[in-house]
Amino acid sequence: MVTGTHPEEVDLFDYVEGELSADRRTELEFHLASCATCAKQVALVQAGKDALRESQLLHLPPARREAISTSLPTQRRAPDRSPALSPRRLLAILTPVAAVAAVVVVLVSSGVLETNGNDQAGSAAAGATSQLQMEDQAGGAEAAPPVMKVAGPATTVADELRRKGIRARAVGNKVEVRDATRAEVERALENRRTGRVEVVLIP
Amino acid sequence: MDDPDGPLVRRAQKGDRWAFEQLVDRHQHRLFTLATRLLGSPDEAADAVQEAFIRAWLGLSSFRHGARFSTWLYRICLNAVHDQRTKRPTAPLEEVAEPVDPRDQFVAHELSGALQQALAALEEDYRGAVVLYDVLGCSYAEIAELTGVAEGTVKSRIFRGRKRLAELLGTRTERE
Repeated sequence: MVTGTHPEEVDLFDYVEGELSADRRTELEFHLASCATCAKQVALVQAGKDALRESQLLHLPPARREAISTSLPTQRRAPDRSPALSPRRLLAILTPVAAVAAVVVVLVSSGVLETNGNDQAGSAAAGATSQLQMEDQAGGAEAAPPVMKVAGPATTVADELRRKGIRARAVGNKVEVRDATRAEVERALENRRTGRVEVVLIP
Repeated sequence: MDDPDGPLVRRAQKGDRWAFEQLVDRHQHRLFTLATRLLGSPDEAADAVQEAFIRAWLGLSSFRHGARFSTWLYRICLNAVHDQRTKRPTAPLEEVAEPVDPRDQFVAHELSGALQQALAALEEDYRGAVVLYDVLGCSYAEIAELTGVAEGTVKSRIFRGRKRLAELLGTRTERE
């Protein structure tokens, strides 16, 4: 492995990690004793490892932990394996679906509606018509012009709005607001300086 | 695979929000450490972590048991970190000073240190590998899965990342 030439990088790594067999370790140590280049590499790698392992876990500030709880949507995708439906419940679900499907078929066949060939029914989200889709689309609210641009960070702005009874959540450098008017948002944030956090209304 | 998070994940997948909150409590600091070490900004990191947990909650039904939940969560967090980085404005943000918390001061101290500066100077691939392996204790297999490269490449990145880091920290070896 290593006598005449330098060992492979992965061998040096395994040596530092103590993952070489006894024979290979002896062989590599023999090489290191006479090769300043490899010995220096091993010393540096060991020093880098020591520096990293001395670093400590960083703690998420409690206010930011709280912000996670308040920003979790109340609804989410239904599990894939939903419990079995009773025939009565199944009928209750399928009847309106069938009625809508029948209307669509009539409209398409009569030329009132044109199809574009995109089958969106297969998408994962298609089955879950709910709040969730609104949440997913919230990311697409980028096109919506901001009501205000205020000094951040976004999570602090969202917290302030929530304290004033307005539904809000931070998404990156934006704050999304629901069920509130522009005037209400402006009033709630009137004391904030202008900045880069965009506040957008989600209909 | 025996995943210690398995029972909570199964409950959360059935809509048990309390169970998900337990998972958040369990992983929040590790995700925050990962994001902070990669982004260098605790505010941006906290935003990325918040976004990661929201995505995890919304996408929980797509998680398949057999993989470790923590690995799945790290993947989501790495994506959120990436998105956060791409959203960075060219000019510095105007920020309102938040209340000072001793833990924030600790984070600030950690980030102002030589280690973070050296980490920030590493190539992104090396930085991710050493943080995942040496700071968070992920296995080669987990990192390979997270980064989409072979385990040999993971080892190589850790090796080079550590070496470069030591050089940036001004480490002197005995033979110098």
